[in-house]
This record gives sequence, C-alpha cells and structure tokens, in this order.
Amino acid sequence: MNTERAEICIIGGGIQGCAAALELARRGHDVIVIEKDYPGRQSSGVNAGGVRRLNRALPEIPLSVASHKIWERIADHVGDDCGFTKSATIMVCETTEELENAKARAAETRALGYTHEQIISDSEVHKHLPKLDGQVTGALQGIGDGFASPFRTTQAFFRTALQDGARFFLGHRVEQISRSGHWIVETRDSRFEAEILINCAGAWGNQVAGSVGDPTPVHAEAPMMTITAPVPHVTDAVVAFTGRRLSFKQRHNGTLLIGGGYRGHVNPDGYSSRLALDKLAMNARAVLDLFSHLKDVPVVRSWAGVEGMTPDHMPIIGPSLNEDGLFHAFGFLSHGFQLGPIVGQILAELVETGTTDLPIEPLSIRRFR
Amino acid sequence: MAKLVIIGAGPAGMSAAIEARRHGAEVQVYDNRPEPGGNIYAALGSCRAHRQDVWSALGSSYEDGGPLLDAFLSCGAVFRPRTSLWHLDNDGILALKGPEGTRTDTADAIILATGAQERPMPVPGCTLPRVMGVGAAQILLKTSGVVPNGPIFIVGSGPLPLLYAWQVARMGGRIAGFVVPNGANLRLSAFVDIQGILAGWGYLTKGLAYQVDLLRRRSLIYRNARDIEIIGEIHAEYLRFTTGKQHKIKVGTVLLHDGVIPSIHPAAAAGLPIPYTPAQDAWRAESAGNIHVAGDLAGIIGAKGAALSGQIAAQTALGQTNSNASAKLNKERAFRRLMDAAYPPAQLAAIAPNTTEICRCEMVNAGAIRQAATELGPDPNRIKSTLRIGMGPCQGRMCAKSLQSIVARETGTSPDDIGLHRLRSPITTITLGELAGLKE
Repeated sequence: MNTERAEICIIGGGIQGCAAALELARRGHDVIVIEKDYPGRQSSGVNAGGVRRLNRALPEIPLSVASHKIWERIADHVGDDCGFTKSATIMVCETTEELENAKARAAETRALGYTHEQIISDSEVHKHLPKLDGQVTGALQGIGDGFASPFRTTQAFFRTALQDGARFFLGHRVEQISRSGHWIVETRDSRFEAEILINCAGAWGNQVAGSVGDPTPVHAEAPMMTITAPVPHVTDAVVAFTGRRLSFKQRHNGTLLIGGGYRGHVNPDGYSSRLALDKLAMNARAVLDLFSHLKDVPVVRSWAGVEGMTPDHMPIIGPSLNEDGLFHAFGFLSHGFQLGPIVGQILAELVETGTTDLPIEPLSIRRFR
Repeated sequence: MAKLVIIGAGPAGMSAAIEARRHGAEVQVYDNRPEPGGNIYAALGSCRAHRQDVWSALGSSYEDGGPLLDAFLSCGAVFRPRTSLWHLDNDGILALKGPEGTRTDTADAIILATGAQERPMPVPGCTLPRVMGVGAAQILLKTSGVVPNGPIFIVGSGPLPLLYAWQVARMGGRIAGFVVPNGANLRLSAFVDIQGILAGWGYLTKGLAYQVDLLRRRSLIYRNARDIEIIGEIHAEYLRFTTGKQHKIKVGTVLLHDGVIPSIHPAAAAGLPIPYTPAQDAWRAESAGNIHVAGDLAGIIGAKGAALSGQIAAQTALGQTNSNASAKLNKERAFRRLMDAAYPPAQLAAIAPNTTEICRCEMVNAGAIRQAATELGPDPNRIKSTLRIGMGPCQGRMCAKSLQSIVARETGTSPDDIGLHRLRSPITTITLGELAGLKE
C-alpha cells in the first residue's frame, strides 16, 4: 500500500477543500487533498452559482462580507475571473407585510453596521422584471452581489492550489480514519498520514466527523435545478421571491437557471440522487404563475446535487471539540459557494494560530452537542 | 393482470406487445411517431394504404413488416402515438408527453425498445443544410415519398446505403456517387464466416442484387477517400476528398452513413448498464431490475432479430419460459457478426480535423475535446463539465459516441474504459408549460 505523508490532510476537493488547500499551500504548508471523484463533482460544481450576501442568517454575515472582498478580486486570487458577474440580487416582496419584514431586515443589518442590503421600490422591481405578471410591493436588494460559474470557480481554486504546491489525490474515497499520534486516512489502495486533518467532505462531512467522535445531525439533501433553452430578456437580476419558493437568473447566453429549494431524492447509496418530478412540476408552476409568457420555453436539463444540511441551515465551521489537529467545514447546503474563499482563509488561520478574527463561534459544532 | 409498458413501436416493441398480449398482460406502447413501425417500418400502414408508388419502390425489406404491423394493431395492446418518454427513473417511474399532455406512468415491467440511430459522422461541413444521414433520407422516403435534390452523393458504406440507392432508383431517382472513407471498404476477408453466410444467405443475395443494380446505373464509386470535407456558403455545394488525387465534386445533397448504433440514451438515463461492444464499436444497453431491453438497443441485430428479441423480452418480463425464439435469434446474430466484420465503421470522429464541430448544441469542436482530454484525462464527465459538451438539448445523442472515439485515440485509452457521460432529464425536450402541467 502506497503511503503519503504531509503536514495537513484535507478530505474533500469541493470549493471549501480547494480554497483551504490554496490558502495553506500559499502559506508554505505541506498539504494534501483526498477527493473521491474530482474537484467540483458534487455541489461545488452544480450549484446555482450565487455570489450573495443578501439575506444571510446573521451569524453568516461577517463571513459572507469578508468572502465578498475576495470575490471582488477573484481573478488575482485564482487566476480566473470565474465568470463572476455583478448583478442586482433581489428578494421580491408581493405584499405589504412582506415588504414590512424586508424593511425590518434591512434596518437590522444597517444597525449592525452592514451596508450591503437596501430596499427598492415596486417600480424598480418592475424594471428588473419587465415581463412579471402581477403586483409587487418592493424588494430587498443586495448591493454588489452577483453570480459566478460554479464548476469553473472550483476548478480555478483547484488549479491554483495545485500550482502553489498542494498535492491532490483524485478518485480516492476515504474508507477509514484513525489516529496514532498523527492522523491516518486510508483509501482503497493508499494510506495518508498527517499532523492535521481538515474535514471538507460536504454531504459526507458527517461520516468523517462521526468516525472521529464528532457526530452531527447533518443529513443529505438533493436540491434540484432546471435550466431552459435561451430566451429573450427576462431579467438582469438574480431573483428570489420572499413569499414563494422560486428563484432564478438569466445567464449571459439567455438561458434561465431556475430553482427554489425543491428537493429531489438522495439514493440509498448516499452519493447519487434522483429527481422528484412532482416537485419539479411545482417549480415550473411557480415560474409560470408570475411569467406566463415562458410556457413554451424548452427545458434543457434538470438535475439534483447532493449536499449536507444542518438543522439550523448554517454550516459547521471550526475546530473539533474532542481532538486536537482536527477542523471541520461542512454542511453548507445552499450557502457554501460564496463562502468558499473565506472558509479557506479561516481554516488556514485556525491551523496556524488556533484562532481567527472572524466570529465563527456561532457556527461551531458545539451547538449540536 | 400484469401491466407492461413498452417504449418504442418498432419491430422489437411491436413483437413484445404481441407476445405479452398472448400471455394476457395489459400492454401500453408509447412511440414518438404518429404510426407504429419504428425506423425500418416507418409509416408502413399509411404508405401501404395511400402511396402505391412508394410502397412498390421500397421493396420486400419494407413489405416484410406488414404482417407484424397487422398483428400488432389487432393484438389488443394500447398504442399511444406521438408520445415521448422524457424521464425514466431506475425505480420504474416513467414520465411522458403526448397529445394528452404530460403525465407519469408506472408498470410492473418496462420494455425499452428504442432501436438504433445512425453513428454520427462528423466531417467538416456536416452541419450544413442539404447534408443528412442516409437513414434520415430513407425515413423521408418512407414517410413522404421524397427523394432529395440531386446530384446525391453518399459518403459511407454498408448495407443501408446500398438498399437506399436501390430504392431511390425505383423511385426514378439516382445516386450520383459513393465516396467510401478509408477504412470503411467492404472487407471480403469477412466472408470466411461460413456460419454467417449460411445464416444470412437471403440477405446476401439481396445485397448482391443491390450492388449489381448500382453498377448497372453507373454510379461513381470512390474508394479509400481521405480528408473528406463538405463545402458551401449557406448549404452544401461541393464534396472534397482525396483518393491519391484531389476531387472536388458539385453536389445537390450529401448523405452520410457510418453504420447504426443503439439509441441508448433513455436506457442510460434510467441507469441501466451500458457496456461497450468493440465488434460494433458501440454502447448497448442491458436489462436491470424490471426494466428490460429489446431489439437494436440491446446490440444492433436488424429487424428480424429485433422482433425475436422483443418476443423474448416480453416472455422474460412476464416470467414466462423462453420459446424457440432464442435459436432463431442466434441465427440472426451469426449473420450480424458477419456484417459487423464486413463493414467496419470508418470512425471519422477519431481523425476529425480540430475545427470540426462535434457537439452541435454547445458548439464544441474536435480540437477543444483533444485539448481537454490531454489536460483532464479520459473522463467524459470532467470533459463535459469543462467544455459543456453534451449539455445541450440533445443531451449528447449527437456527440457522445464521437467524444468517446476522439478521447480514446487522443489519450491512448481503450474505448471500453471511456464510459458515457451522465445524462440528465428531460431526455427529450419538454416545455416549462408541459412540465408545469404534469399529471401524476
């Protein structure tokens, strides 16, 4: 059996694992990444690509804001602009009550010192959505948010990490983790030894955490997305609705990327997923309720990708409570892509100093004890 | 009463339905065409009834489908025309769209009999108007009695172009010439297979007659053609190639043919095993769980073999013992082995110039695939995610095979080790309105 030794071993080559590898390699650490398929194979490569600070849970905001600063110079960071495009990002309100809640939310984040959320009027919403059937009352807008190309982004982090000296072992599925002083991670035909272990295993993060005594209530979900054939201008914004399960954006080539939190089925193998056709139909109805002129637009592709979800819908980030030299960053369902760059930095700081300037305590695994 | 759903009303699907009805099953047959018959017997019913000229031109290989069609129409199976399968789950849920709207269906067993398609032949200029497959042109003839504008040149070889040329002649048309790509010549060495010759004696004598007919009509034949290229501004105007010397020929229509391959996409989307068969240079599908495969989908076998295979699939699906159809099927297989050896595919994709468009939906050319294969290795999913090849509306039906051939050659990997990329639903296009209207 082939044995590889390194200072740091990261499990998972998604955007979190690749970002952590990049950050650590740049700081001169000897780091290896063990990935069961290839970078971006799962959620990191097939998510909606939102680069969004808007409407984050309060504990996520400081991280999201810090990550956005990296997104602003993403081409310098990873040698590719990752398709990052700034675009109005709006949570549309259709009732007065929804708008009042949005106003309260905007006031709350302002009071905390954040300036990235604002309220826009109904007429401004209609400018972003000229073909919308029906009334709106306004929207909560994220200023400076946008979207990027997820697979391309994950590949860019992977490539840059590789150039900077991180070593990747692709097609290696972790079978066992043990410790004898250093960590020992075994795959079918290799063995990896490291001082420090970082768990970036996404939907399978709990399998890793559980096997080292940090069980969590993370479970696998399979959010579904649908993409259409190119259509004439529908919107220049990344759009979500406050009172409906619907979100979409129009990409540069005119295709509409549609979601809304509808979930498919995770197969019993835990790795693959299937569509839930009834939910997919609900998603299509949610589009046509508001944009009836899209009824003859062809659907090109629908898919579901497996992700890990925590009970409070916030990720687990930080050191293990039981073991030295073990850090977790997983359970990001629908929230992880934009956070990737900063999570890499946080993990590097934790490895080097045991602490970080960003307030990650609310995201600690401790909350599930 | 067991409920059986059959996808595809070609010889395999029709024959499966007849057999299943004989065992008392409730049978639903879906097909995206307006009439049963599949490709080989496309529009047979209406042609026989209304187009005497076309009917007599098409000859016995088409007429042979009449008794099968009649038996199918009277067997008591429910036939749902113009209905497409757009999703098939490995748990056996089917989603369909047709005149009655969009709905799901379930069954105790499903038989996939989605038949064959032409192996894409990506030569430069192949996406120009007035270029199509020989098989497509033949379906045009069967369904509409149409022969395309001349001069017609066929690029390729094999039994289907020979038959088509003969049929066109009987319609009063003419194939001006054949351009046989290097490597696709008839291999006479294959005819040492005595078993195959005996099994296919009837087919072979017919094939010989077609060949003689072609010579009699003085169609031009260019063998060992290389660097084949179709040239034209807004449509195909010239065919250029070399055979030792340069040729540039004025054309009205170019018909391409590099053999047929199983139409595996619905089977692959449902997660069935999709092994690669080197002798046919093609993927085929295998049955799994309560989803059974029949006909050309299970490996190219031809119409008679497909009908036998459909019959066997129905018996298997309903837990009946297999009849003597298996012995007859083996005879068809013996002849198919001979044909596979006699007409090796030219596989022009593997040597396509870098500028040749391989994926029409996302406009990915051969050069980009070669570069990606070199950088990323022979994993079609990584190449797909990087180049978006196979992610357009056809979901790779037109490029998956070519991608495999190019990647195999470029990386020195056996085609066997290069799987098919993951397929997404819908496997045929539906609209947002149709999806929204899904009835359970």
